[in-house]
Amino acid sequence: MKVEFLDYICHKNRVLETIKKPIMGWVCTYTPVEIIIAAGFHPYRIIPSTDPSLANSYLDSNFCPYVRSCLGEVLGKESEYADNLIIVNSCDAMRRLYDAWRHYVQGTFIYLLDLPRDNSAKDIQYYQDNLQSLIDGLEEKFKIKISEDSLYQAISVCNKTRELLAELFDLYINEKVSLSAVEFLQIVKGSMSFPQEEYNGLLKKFVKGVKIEDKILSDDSQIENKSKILITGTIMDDLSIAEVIEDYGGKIVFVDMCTGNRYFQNQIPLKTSKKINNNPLRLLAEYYLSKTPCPRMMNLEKRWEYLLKIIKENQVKGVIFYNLKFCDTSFFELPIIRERLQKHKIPSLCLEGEFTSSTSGRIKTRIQAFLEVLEFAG
Amino acid sequence: MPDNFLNDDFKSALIKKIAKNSNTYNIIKAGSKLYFRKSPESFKIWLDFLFYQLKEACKKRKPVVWTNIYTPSELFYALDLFPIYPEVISGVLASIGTANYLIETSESKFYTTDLCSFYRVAAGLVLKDWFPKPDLIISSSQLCDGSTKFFRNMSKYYNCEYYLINTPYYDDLNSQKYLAAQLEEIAYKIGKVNGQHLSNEKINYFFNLSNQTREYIIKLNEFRKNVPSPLSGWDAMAYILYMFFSSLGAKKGLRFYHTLYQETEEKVNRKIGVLKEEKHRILWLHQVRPYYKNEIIQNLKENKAVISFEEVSYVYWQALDPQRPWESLAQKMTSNFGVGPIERRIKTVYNLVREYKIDGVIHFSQRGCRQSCGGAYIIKDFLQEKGIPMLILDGDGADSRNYSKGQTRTRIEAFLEMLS
Repeated sequence: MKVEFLDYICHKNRVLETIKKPIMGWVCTYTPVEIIIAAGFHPYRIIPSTDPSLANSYLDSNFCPYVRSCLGEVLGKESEYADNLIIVNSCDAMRRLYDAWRHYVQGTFIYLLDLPRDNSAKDIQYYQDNLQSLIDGLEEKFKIKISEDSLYQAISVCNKTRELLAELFDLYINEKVSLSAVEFLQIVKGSMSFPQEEYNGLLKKFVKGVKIEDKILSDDSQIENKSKILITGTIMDDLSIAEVIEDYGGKIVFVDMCTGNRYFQNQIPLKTSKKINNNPLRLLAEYYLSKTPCPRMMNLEKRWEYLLKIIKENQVKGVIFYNLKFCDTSFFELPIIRERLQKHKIPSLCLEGEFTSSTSGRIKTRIQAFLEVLEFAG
Repeated sequence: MPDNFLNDDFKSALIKKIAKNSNTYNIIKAGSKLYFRKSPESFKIWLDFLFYQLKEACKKRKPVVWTNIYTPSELFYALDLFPIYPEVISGVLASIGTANYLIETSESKFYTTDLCSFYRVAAGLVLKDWFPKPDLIISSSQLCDGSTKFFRNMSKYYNCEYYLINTPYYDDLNSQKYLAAQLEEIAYKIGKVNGQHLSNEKINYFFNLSNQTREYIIKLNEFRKNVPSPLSGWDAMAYILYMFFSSLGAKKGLRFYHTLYQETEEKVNRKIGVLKEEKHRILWLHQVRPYYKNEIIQNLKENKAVISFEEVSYVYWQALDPQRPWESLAQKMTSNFGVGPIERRIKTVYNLVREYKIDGVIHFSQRGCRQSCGGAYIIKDFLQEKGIPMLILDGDGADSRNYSKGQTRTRIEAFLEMLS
């Protein structure tokens, strides 16, 4: 059952074939996908498999490989998601992707949503206003009406996805099911591209199924013998990193990435909020700005407290930073977090991703050496 | 000064002691005055201003605030704060050959080589503790991601208050309202701490100083449209740029630009150009140029090319309105053509090309700078359509290890040959 499910969700073409609605691409987890759903579009996270160098004539080569890869993938060929795209102003690279996309790909609705860097009352109000502008833009461009009810409905669908992923993660981390980190991350990745409601149904069935199939594992867990690893960073472009960690005896207990746990943490408090007649855009603004911040946001202490909590709760033995090359926001966070980890005697390893499809031998060796050190340290 | 002359703890401790002593800057200032006695008056005013700043950063007669180049300096002068610009100091350090040592220091503390070198130099300076501690840090997210993170990190090292001014992407009323509210809140918080009430008189005084200075910059820029170019863009991106970012709202800033204006007027009247024979007029794109020893300006000179103007010196903002201080400062920030979609920058660049009779454009692709380099190809394609050649020159402003003499010369020569 697991094999069929993973096989089903991992085929990009199959995913795209399943989609019946017009596609709206997105590239950052601060994108309010709920609005895209409420507008009648299918939200599709662009995670390309194209060599970033294809975009070298359009964007500087000293530039985020994810962004270059996104652009490279849609340049010069028909693509289902080139026409409509919401880019969040999350970093310099994204801002320039917005420019490059409009100039070299063009498209029908290429929108830049501005994003504050903190979550003060002013920031939340500003982001809410920006969400309203996005809605106005969608309504005007596509001659549609996005109702409050459709927004509440979309929030509910996305909440369900987050809830199911959190439930599955709980089973994975406690080794209640036979699921590797790679498989789990594939499932998270799938939830960003698949039609959400259909995916929720499949995922629910899958979670139920694996619980029964793998019940026996609950007594046979080897988790205590493994070095528990926290991975933190931006996007996991190459899932085989997780495979290498597991192959060398590590157990990934948390993936603090936008393609990992950060994507499905927390939910929008729909029931209680609806009672006090809250504006759905307010709920969205509060949720997106109050969730665990990614390195792009400014609240370093909140990030540090959250990372430390994960480390303590999961008895993490080592931290692996996996950042895409040229990601300024992540690399500026590194010195402070690494220094604090050192004070807590938590070893860390820093790896740089280049959005290539296979893990280099050098990275494998470094992971292996790191895990050996952890094992030796006991 | 060789980059590796400082290599042990004793020397480092000694430097720390010297660099943090205000008398040091009095002595260097006296020496500089003698050494540069034949330099133009405006240059000497800059030296005065630089050493005054460094001295005050040590003396701390006023609260010292660290900030970045696009945060409006008028705000600090009006609040009776003393602004210091670590990025600009990095440029000065690169020019005297100490940058690479500091870069290595920051690299040893995980500031990787792909980050902007100006911040890596400044981080090295902080990690070495070679500069007086600020009382607070205020920076804006204007233009680049790196600055917000750099200043946030420094506030952690110094354990001091940090205020971020989040600059919105769009130049519209709602964005300005959001920005104005942030500026007002920061002013209120600072006022509560240092007891400085921001009266209308004060705002009037400092805004007027800034507006008068702005008028002189505009007039100076007007002079620079002359052929031959009366002022080298290479100088404009050094000490003049220092004043451009840090002296608006200061009396010394007004004096500097007034003097520079007079000096340039005289050159224009006497038809004195930077070069005896001016063949190619160049527009330089990006806020910086390399500050360490390099041969770029020689390469240009040998081929009779002069940097007639640089985008960073363009006055993009309207005069400040003391009746609406926060909205006015917010407008100044959002009207920066580097903020928002690339079309704003393209429009400005194209206007500058026409107004300054530009033959070719050089985009200096400072390694580690995403905001500027990310738009270079779009600008190049646009200019190409208009028949204006543009060279994308890869390099680094503060890290000389990323400078390749031969390659840079070849690229510049090939470009200038094409212009011929």
